Amino acid sequence: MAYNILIVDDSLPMRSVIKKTIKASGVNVGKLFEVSNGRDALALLKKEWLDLVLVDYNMPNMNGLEFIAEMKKDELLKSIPVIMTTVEGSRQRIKEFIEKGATDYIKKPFTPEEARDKLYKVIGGATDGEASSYTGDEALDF
Amino acid sequence: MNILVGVADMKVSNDPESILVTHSLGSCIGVAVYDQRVHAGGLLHFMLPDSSIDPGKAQEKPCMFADTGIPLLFKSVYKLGGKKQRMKVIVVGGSQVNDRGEFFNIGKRNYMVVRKIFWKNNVIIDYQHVGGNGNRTIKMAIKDGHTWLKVSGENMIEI
Amino acid sequence: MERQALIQAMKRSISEVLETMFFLSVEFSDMAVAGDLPYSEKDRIAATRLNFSGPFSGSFVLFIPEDFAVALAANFLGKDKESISSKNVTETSKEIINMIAGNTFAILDDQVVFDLNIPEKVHFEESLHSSSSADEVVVRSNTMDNYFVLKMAISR
Repeated sequence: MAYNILIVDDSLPMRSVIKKTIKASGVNVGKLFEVSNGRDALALLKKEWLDLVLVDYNMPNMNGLEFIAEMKKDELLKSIPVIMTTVEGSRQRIKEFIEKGATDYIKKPFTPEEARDKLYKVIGGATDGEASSYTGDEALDF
Repeated sequence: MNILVGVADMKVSNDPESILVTHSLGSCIGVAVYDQRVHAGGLLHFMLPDSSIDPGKAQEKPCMFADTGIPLLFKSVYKLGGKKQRMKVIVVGGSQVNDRGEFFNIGKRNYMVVRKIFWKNNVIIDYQHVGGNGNRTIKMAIKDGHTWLKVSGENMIEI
Repeated sequence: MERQALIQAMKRSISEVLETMFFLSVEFSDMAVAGDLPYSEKDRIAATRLNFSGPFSGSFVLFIPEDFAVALAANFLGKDKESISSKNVTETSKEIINMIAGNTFAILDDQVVFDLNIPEKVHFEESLHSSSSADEVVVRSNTMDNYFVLKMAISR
């Protein structure tokens, strides 16, 4: 099964890092979208079928929690799994993320291995490692 | 049958009888890769992170350096039908063997550069056992990819 | 907030962030105040600030030589230096200060909530000296051939 994934983060390089991690993880990716803010993310979610959202907590105008709250108000969107990416380390905040509807969280800084493990945990299971349909444009050495 | 991989050396195989093994992984790093589908794998034992310190040497002995040895390892296993996305990747070694506790110790630099090269090339590590002070031995059976690790002073474990 | 605890948390945070996502080890050297950065460096150093609030408030300021910022962005993105845009360099520096700040607080006390503002690029000279109503803690991080300076200014 190919998963359609949305990345929401106001940081351009962090979106690239998360995209690259998803590509390396072996998850079978169908469509991969990225937006810089919650408003654009919500608009996209109304148009496209998405299987997973990764959202950053600390964004201007609408933070990750506010974004999740908006998703939860919508019948179609409320069951889409959401992973919160965050620099937050306080136990209280993490607890709040989960209570308010985040499926899980990835604490920054993270290794690609840690992110992959979270992806598998949320989407469910590893793949057999066959090439995903998502292709990037990097120049690889091997 | 054991196939010995020396220091600054690499071996690849798709012979089900072969067991690749390397010893004396102190600050050096051993990178083992295996493709379960085609039953092919390889083992690299490199010493230093960056070949730009001696490009002549790197031509002669690419396995001495991470940046020349790692691509060679993967490409050699590709020639046996291996595909990156299917390959299990194991990294061991990178001990701090220098008693003076030099901060930019070679073991740690070696490990950092492996992670940097892997990140650039979309490779995720499946298992690692790095750092500390001991010497390590790793062996991998080409028949099925089973891998064993021994750290000095401890028993051999399957990983 | 005890000064030594802050310095240790900052150092540990810097090491964790740099080793995890930038593949670099650093060592630390002492620096009394950020104002000790030589004026001659002003043209090659970029400054990024992040304000925070919580049990105590203040700001972090990160001073990075431009060439180092490019190298860090390249490591972060897994690309060669030549293909890094200046937007990616600026945005990566913001991500660095964001992660170092968040991680510092997590190390100091994970029971306490701090609010981090959005990082912003600031003027080197204006950010060098803290106001007299702030306590300043500075850590200088060195790699084999480069360095950066992190200042934490806490409002009294």
